[in-house]
Amino acid sequence: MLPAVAVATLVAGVLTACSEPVDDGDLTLRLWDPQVAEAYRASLADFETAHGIHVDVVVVPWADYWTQLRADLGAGAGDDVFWVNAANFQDYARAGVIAPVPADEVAARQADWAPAAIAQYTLDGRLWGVPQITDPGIGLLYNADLLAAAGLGPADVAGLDWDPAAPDDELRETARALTLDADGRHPGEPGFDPARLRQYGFGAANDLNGVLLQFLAGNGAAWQEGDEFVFASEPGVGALGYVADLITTEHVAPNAADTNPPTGGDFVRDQFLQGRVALFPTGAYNLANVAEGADFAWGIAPLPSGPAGAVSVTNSVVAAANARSDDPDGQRLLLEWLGSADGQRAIGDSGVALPAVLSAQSGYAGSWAARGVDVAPLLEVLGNGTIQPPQGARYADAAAAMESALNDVFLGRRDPESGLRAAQDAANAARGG
Amino acid sequence: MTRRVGRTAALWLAPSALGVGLFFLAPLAVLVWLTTQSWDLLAPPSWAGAGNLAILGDGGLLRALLATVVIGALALAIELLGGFALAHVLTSGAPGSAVLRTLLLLPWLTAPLAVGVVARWVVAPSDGLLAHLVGARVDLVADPVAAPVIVALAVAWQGTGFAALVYAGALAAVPREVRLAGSLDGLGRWGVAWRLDWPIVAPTTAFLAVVGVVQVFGLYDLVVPLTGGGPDRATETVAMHIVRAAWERFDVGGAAVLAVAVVAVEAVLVAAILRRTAGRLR
Amino acid sequence: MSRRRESRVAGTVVAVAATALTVGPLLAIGLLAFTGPDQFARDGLGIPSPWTLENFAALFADPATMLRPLLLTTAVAAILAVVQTATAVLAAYVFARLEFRGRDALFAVYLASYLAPPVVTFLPLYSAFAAAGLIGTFWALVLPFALASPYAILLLRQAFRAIPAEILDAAELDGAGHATVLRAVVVPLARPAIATVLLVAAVSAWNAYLWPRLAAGVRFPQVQVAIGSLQSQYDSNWTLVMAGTVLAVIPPLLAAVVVQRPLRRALELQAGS
Repeated sequence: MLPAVAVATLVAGVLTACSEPVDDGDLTLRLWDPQVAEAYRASLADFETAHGIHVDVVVVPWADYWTQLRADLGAGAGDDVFWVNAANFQDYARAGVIAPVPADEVAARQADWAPAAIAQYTLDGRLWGVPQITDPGIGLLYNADLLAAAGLGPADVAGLDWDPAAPDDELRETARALTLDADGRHPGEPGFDPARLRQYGFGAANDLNGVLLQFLAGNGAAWQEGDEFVFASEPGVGALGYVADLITTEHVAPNAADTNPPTGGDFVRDQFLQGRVALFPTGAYNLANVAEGADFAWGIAPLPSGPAGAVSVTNSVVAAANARSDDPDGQRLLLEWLGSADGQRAIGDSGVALPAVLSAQSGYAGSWAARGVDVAPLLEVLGNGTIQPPQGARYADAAAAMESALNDVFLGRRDPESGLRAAQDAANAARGG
Repeated sequence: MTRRVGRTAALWLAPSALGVGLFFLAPLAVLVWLTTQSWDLLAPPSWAGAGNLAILGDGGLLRALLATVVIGALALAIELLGGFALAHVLTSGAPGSAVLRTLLLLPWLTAPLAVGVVARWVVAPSDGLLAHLVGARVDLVADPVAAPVIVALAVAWQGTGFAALVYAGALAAVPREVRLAGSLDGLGRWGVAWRLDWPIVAPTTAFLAVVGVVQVFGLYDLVVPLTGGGPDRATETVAMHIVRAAWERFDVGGAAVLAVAVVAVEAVLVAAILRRTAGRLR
Repeated sequence: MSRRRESRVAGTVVAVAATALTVGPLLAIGLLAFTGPDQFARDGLGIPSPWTLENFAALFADPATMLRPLLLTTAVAAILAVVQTATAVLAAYVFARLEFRGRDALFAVYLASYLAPPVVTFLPLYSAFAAAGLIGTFWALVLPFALASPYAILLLRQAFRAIPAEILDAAELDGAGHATVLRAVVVPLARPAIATVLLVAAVSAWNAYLWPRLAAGVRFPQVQVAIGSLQSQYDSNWTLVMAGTVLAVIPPLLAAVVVQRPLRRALELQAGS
């Protein structure tokens, strides 16, 4: 009986393995955002009708995306087209594994592409990917129910002032009023226990895109100047030290042990979805998640405003061409489609992200308005100017090098002055000076 | 007869010998070659000479070895002592020991990755099992001293049942007369266990120790979901250190140097354990 | 007399504690898998009320999340179990029964391949497979492990050695060649050990994480890698993560319950190696 079972399983196994449909006519498109992937699938149905080419949309989770991409590219197994972000594209460009957008294509299309995206991905005079999405600015998501319970309304949390040099400010005051421990006490009240927080007033964390960049800009500092890290300047230390204080001294935010990279990236979002965070600084990339998962009333308020104003970062994502694709013609057709209004309309209309093609953007605000969410604060803040987003070759190495010192600052294990300086030095060293 | 033996032996060994040659010996040779190359997985490898040796001086390997040894020693202590004690219970014929024997198989068969995920849930700072039971935050995985202990406990959870079953087999082979002699001498039950059984099962202990060393030097799956190597690399085992060097910092040549160093250290450890046992037996 | 009762009580306490510690976590994740996320957010771990399948529904909404990994890992585990056992039976017979020059040295090399940390072989294997364009293919998952499982060879060698020499000598006197002896005498007598090896090989393939994460790519996801991604993506959503974990853990446990007696016996004989 045993041999029969063995043969049967062997045959079944081989059949299952070989049943993988490998259609050489297929193109593959890789990205990390499952919601945009859905929108792509919808729009690519039209592409297939028009050109007769099927496109397989592959989603690799963010946590694995860069390791997987590099491993697959190095082994010649990458997809035909894949998303890259600013922090990573330079390494791929310099190694020649992605192909720049042909100059004639750029000339023909650039009028309809978001200028911020073109600027972010131009290196050595070439554009290294077809712009796909461009972030509106960062804003403040609020839990309307928690606000109401504290006697506050949306207008009370719009554009909160903050100032590291002042003994107190609107942001801290409001956050304290919205923070509760398990016994219902606020920070500063006798008997308040920061180890048993039930509700967080403000989602301060070591979150570069959602928090740190805006506080740096609001205090007149910067994260990088060109490729060099400069956040340990005096205004930079003031800004980031302020954020660390919100966590360690004011106790209006979760303990950094929960939110620090590399594992804590989604903690505040998940707590917000569970109704435990009153004010959540984040961008459009979380709107779809929140819309899907929040069972309380929520809205978007304008970004808090520091001594230098309310300034946000904006990032774009491009679709890059695999230089070793085995179907360059199909690849070119796909990229043309992805860079057109037709290709991006589904993204804008579903509201999952703001398309980088300007003529496809109109559906975005409307699709959120139809759901009762006003995204104007996110779009308007960009009018105040923007802070340079992370960039440069070997950015990932620099980020890894600075991680532990930076984490220690937010854990309260190290004072901001020395911790930030150590982080900055480590990052610049890893970058190659 | 001899010629037939030779041909049969060669033929029947061929598949597995091919496997060992192609997928163990050859890769070791490639590994040594990789130590001389500079490769970031994007551009083709290029000659680096002895340049990769610099990675041995950055303190990371030493820290990883320390973490690995601490976790391994703690886990092994629990597995050996706990397994030994459990084996006595299993061989005592108490009711339910048959069921227990089966149950003890389960952790050994559970994927280390899954064990790490479950352990993470137990010690998750705000929404894990311990936090829920205590009613407040539990800061174990964020603490550089507690985190390796947690990892060791998870490893021991997986390995103690295995050790118990192996010890039970060894104890069953201890002759009855030895035990009778022990109790005649006035030794209590645990006296017999400690003074008599423990030395007798020394070969088993050595076997389990070697298995334990091999396991902790390969420890990766369990640590990833549990602590991710943190806090601040306090639980970054040697295996994780090598994986990070190759696939997160994209320094394949450096990772190869680390790998060779790690194999050397492990070989020394295993040889030491075997030599000690062989010496004792004589 | 009271000392014996004392030690019996102590023994029972230890046994109960061991049972609780062993089974507790597994029961807990089983409970969580069937608990609704809203109940978990409110009450934490508890008896699900009501018992719900919504976590599993969420897992299977997109077949790529859990379904494909489950099917593909089953295929890999089945293939590896059969091939590894077959080659191990042949090799173990040679090591147990045949004498030739260099046999023990060769066996030592086999053992050495078991002792080396896997990542040390994975690094060069990955490089070689990448150069050969095999990363992200089914072969990458199967080839490095198909031909030799030192653990299986070790177990079977022990089992074959335990067969009394008289039986084998009698068969040879009757004129049987090695192949006949293996097929007609050794394999039937060593059936429990062979079943154990099949199980251990299948479970090893099912539980693999590091190599599939590096080499399987996105086309051939394996179940443990899928769980790892699930946990990092849905960190606070424990009910969802545990539903996936339950699926990743159940098959080896079920298989083990089926093969438990020979498996335990094989472990208990380990001591003698």
